[in-house]
Amino acid sequence: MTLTLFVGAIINMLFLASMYILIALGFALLFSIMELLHVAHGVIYMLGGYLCYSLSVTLGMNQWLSLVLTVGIICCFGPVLERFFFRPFFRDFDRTLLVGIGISTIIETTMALSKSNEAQSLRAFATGILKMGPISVSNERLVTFLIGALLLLAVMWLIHRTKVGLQMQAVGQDLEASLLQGINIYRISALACVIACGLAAVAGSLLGAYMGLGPFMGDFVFQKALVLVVLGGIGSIGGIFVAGLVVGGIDAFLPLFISGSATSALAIGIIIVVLLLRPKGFFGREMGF
Amino acid sequence: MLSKKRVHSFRVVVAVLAVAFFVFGTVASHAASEPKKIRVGLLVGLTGWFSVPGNIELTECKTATEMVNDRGGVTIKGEKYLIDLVPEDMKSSNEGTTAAVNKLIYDDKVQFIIGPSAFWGPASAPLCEANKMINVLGYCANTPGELDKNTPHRLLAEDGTMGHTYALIKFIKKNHPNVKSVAIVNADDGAVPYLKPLIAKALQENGISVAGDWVLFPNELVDFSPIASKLAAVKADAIFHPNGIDRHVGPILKGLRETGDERWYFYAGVSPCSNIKTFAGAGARKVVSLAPTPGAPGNPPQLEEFIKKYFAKSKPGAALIIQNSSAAYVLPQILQAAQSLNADDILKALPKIGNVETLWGPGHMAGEKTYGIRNAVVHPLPSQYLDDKGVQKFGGWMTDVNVP
Repeated sequence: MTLTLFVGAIINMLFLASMYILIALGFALLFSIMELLHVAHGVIYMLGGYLCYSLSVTLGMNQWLSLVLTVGIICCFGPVLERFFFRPFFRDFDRTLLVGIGISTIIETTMALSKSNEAQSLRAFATGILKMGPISVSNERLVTFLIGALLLLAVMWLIHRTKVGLQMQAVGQDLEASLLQGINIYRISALACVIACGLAAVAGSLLGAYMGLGPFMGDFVFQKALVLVVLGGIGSIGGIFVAGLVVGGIDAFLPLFISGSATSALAIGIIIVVLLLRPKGFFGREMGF
Repeated sequence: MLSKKRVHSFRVVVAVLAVAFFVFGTVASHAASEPKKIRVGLLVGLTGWFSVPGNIELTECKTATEMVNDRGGVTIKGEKYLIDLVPEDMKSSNEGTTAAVNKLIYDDKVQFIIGPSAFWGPASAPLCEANKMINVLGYCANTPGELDKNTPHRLLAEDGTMGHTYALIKFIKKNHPNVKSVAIVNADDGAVPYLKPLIAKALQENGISVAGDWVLFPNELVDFSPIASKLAAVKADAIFHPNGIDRHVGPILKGLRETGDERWYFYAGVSPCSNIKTFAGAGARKVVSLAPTPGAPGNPPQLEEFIKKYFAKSKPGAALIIQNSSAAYVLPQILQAAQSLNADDILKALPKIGNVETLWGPGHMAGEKTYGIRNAVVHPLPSQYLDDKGVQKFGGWMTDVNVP
């Protein structure tokens, strides 16, 4: 492997890590706090991408303004999801899983019927290429990386340094004790859903520009998010960062040595081995259900 | 003498019988004059990763079927038949293909099957052969069981990977004679071990060598930056991509340009340059595709008619694939030439069929050396490209494509 290829792989690793962290952050929040396996996270991500496309390309708005509006609109789904789809089955894993699958299927099928024969992509949020000797990185990837890193820091600050964040941690750790402390668990859950939807919308818009849009673009989101959350550890938002680097590293380096479909299988194999050695993930607690 | 009541009853019975004869007679005569239908199953990926091309193909096949029916359908031994298309979603997977074939054969009772797309042919072969179902493919990637001596009931109505490869090599020789070596990138779709020697031979016969090993990626891959990095490291004059869709080509091209790689990208598929541009963004330049260009010089009249009708159903500027729709256009001609709907009669008639008109222009039966069976229709292919400024241009027709 040449130096250029190695440095290129490091850059790919950092970009992939930031991409996966961006995707998994909202999912991790809901999984850690509400013990909710948000299967519909992928379709929220997909809707975010398409909404940003509609605003920026179809209506001709400024792309960054479109991103902000998209986040605002998609965030409004959060309280609706919590009130009507998750609250009736609060902490009922099986039922919330079924509800999530139902939401995913309905939204994906609707989008597939209306959009599936169109090739669409958002315009890049940043153009140009940054060259450093033989190494070059697109500004688009740099911006995605920076936004992913900033959002991770923001969520970690929210969780660890604010009253709301501490309440979220309390709900995630012990529901009954939180109720006894007077914490409004439904309000906290709704807030978590709002944040999760907003993060999914950001991810869908940024990655919709980088990778293109499609009705099934969210399929891989659930898989990657679940891997990151389990690997990083239940209840640990910071663990997402380490897990993102590990999974991003595997996906960036493995294709350089192994060709084709074997990379996917080997990547899963590596993750399984890690979990066999550390069942709680890197920083997590035991799952409560 | 009959009573009034009995006369009235008798009149009612006669009136009812008269109405019944009139109604049934009308229905029968209507049925007798209406053309019969040939039920043709269509395997397309309406969901899953191939759903964009799959849904395009559904619209295209409906268009091709309409063209055939508007011209009077098929006449076999004096009897007129219209084509009745029965689409089924194969879910972009082998398992989905098998399930869809099951449904078409046993539930929908179709008489012929078109598709599946791309390289899923082996998944439909066992059931089609077991049921002696004539199955016309819209593409072939040369995997065992796709089109060979063991699939006598299978026809191929499109050039397939090898036809596209030969056509693209002709384009390279004519327009880029300085290209003497290529780095090959392709989806790891199971056809690669069988395509490698065939494509290497085709390139070598034309003075082009293959640099290094093929760079492969899983079909479902989302981020292609590692693939682009690996490809950029292979020293060759250009990139050659035999099989793939716009969602592969665009991101790889984007990744290549981001690394500073400005080599020409020769793509043997039919995803249009406009779609590749959508996914490649600012990196969309110096790429060739074998997609048709509406209104281009040399386009056969049936292709222009097809494009016009297709855009009336779809959006103007929508992508064209013309693979399964080629099968939908060719199958009625085969049936008409065989003058039978019976599979054995059709197979007996095949060796006598030389030329077939396709949507791409005049085609001929071939493929004995490549597939082991002379069941493929080979036809001309067009080209288009994005120049070094990213402007789309028509690249001309390759009219002497042959798949031996």
